[in-house]
Amino acid sequence: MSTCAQCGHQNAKHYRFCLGCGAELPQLRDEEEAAPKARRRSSLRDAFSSAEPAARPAALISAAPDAVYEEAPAVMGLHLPAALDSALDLALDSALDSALDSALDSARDSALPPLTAEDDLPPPLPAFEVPSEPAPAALAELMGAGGGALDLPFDFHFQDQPSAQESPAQESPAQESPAQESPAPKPPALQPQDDAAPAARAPQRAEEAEETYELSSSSLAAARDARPAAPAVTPAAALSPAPPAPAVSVRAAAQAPRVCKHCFAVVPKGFAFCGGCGTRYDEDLRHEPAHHTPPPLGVPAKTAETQYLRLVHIHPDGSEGEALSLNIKQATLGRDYPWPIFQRDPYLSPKHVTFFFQGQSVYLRDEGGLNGTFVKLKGTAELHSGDLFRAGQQLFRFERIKPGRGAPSTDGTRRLGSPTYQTWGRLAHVVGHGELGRAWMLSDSTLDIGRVRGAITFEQDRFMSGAHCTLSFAEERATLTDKGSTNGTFLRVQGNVPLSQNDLVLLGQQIFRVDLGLV
Amino acid sequence: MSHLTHCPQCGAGVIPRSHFCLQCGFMLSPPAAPAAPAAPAAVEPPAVDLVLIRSPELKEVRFRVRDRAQIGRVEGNMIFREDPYISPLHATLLYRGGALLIRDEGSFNGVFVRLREPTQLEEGEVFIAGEQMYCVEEYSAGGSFLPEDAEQGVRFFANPKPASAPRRLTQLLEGGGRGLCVPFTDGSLSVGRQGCDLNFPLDRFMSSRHCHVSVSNDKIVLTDMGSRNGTFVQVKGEAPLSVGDFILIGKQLLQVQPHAPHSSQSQVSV
Repeated sequence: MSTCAQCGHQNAKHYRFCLGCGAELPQLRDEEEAAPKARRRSSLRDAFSSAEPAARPAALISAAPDAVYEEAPAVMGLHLPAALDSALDLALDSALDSALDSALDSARDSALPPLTAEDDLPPPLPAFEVPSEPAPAALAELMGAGGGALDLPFDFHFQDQPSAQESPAQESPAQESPAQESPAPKPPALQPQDDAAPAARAPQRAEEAEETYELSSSSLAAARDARPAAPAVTPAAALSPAPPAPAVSVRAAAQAPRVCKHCFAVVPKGFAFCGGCGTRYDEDLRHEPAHHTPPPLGVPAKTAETQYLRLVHIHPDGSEGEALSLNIKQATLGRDYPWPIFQRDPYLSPKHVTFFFQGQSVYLRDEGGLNGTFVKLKGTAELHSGDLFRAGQQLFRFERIKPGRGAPSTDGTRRLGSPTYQTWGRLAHVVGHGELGRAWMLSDSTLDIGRVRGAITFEQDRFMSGAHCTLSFAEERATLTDKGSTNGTFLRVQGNVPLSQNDLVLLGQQIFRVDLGLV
Repeated sequence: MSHLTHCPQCGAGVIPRSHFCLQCGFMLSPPAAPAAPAAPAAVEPPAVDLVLIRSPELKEVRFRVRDRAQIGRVEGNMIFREDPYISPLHATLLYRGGALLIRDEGSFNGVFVRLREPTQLEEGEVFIAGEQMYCVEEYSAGGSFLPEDAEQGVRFFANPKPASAPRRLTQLLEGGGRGLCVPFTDGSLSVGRQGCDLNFPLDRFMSSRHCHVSVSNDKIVLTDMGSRNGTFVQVKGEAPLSVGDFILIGKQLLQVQPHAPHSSQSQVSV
């Protein structure tokens, strides 16, 4: 901790400029830097566990900001989003110490690679700097400008906890200070998402909350990935691509560390991969995931107006990762396809889905694999008997029930059973290997599904919005409507499905954004 | 029961609360003969009647069970032509060793007997409360909707099975198929018209609190909670009957009553 001589603001000790007034800070001496780690960490833990949930972020920051900032870039999220508290309440109460410990440890481990003979100097302390380029426009697009309920694949329930965007998150120094007049360096995650806003000008705008949101979600995801023992890790999080082990670059480290443009973890110079999300940062390759580029497939299209299709991988934290470009007329993708994101997904069939161009449109066709292909619902879709859909982490099967008593048996006897009254459908929760667990009869004209609101609730599913989707029945048609859920409702598709820009497609356990255009 | 409106003489359906059958002119509504007090059953086998329970305004139908009675839609000596839920030959009442038994003749829908006391059920055993039919079964009982030749080596994405609820109460629908399914998360479930774990507000034959199923280890116990219309369990093969027992065959509710000597018809075709 270093106190600014000019304005008295307390800054993390590795900051070169005061977050309060922008004055240059004196660089701290070595002995000050060597403060006992154990004490910092224990105070961090104490602050975290003793504070009221709502006050935790602030308590954490004030107790041991050094530990937070220095030791674990990936744990930065711990002090920032108040929404994290609600998520962690479930997970951390009992396993607080061990979870925090392992999060700190693994975050540090991933940030600090093993020393080698080639690189025997310890990497420089992470000193945050403005990323060399603004966050990708696509990300900004994904984040949108307004309401906070966005296309993130994970739901942190901001919309259900209005306070989450307010008090604790904004009390933390890292939040408010750069939004004020901090001239130069600031925590990278607070980089405005808007391309038009130069990094050095700190915008004081309503979108600040959005930036906070993104920071928190990506940092949270990093923290979650780094915390293997946490009980609340969901299948999707558990299956998210593990960050590859940091590799030491052939070049010696330069002085100023970089910040990952995807997950905002610090990527010290000289490292070829981001420790947080695994994005490649090889200088010569200009951040392109060249080593993952799959070999060309099929016959290249010949027309000049070839459309291209990019499948942009959406990380579990909502950020965008590698993209697969398909410049050919037709491509069948699956676990056989030589792309690591596909190859490591056990829920993907060898030949899972086919994307193809027809006229000016792009279609996908599910290849009838075990898990099928799900497309995010836009508005309302008709449901047919046997349709599967996903809301949050739950998989449902809809069955239409039509009035009538069924066909009699061979001797003309009808099957006795419960009358269906005016029931029009049945909704079953899919468990195990295609078995149906709990099931609900649909007799009212609408039925709501949500985490907390609705006739069917899943209070444990953190990826389900408070009010997520609705099943309706009118004029002999059963429909499914997404109620503006954060993570969306995904419907399993059959046949040829036309795609449009920014459609989200769920293949196996991975979500991809569809990016279309003309070459 | 309003749906039992068949002419006892010709079997044609009749308009509820009408006095004569439109088909054959049978007089439907003479004052019902009061049930006589129990006749002394000095001789064996005890003389019993099988009484069809239906709307009180309809004529009482008694069937004298002599040595045996066979119930069916086509065969037997007690024939319900209009009930599609009854198999051609459904069940037999018989005496053996002085005891009255009912035997399921391999019927499609089974024979149900009203519960007198809490009864242990086996997995998959069917019971009826109100108009609803249920069974207790394991999660896997319904099978998988995935194709049998599902790909190997690909994991299926689904929610994990709750470890604490290996069984569930399943509603069995008319015409086949499963309806409402509720897992036994805390060991027992109650069924009724309102205020229970499973509620059927539209079922007019269901009591507010009708019956109760508890599951512990390997025991499934079904208890009637003093319901008005009772809870019925399917007979496995044969079951002993005693006077006062109710039997549900198809949609027909029958009661074993002491023989009323003045009963005119000894053999009816209902």
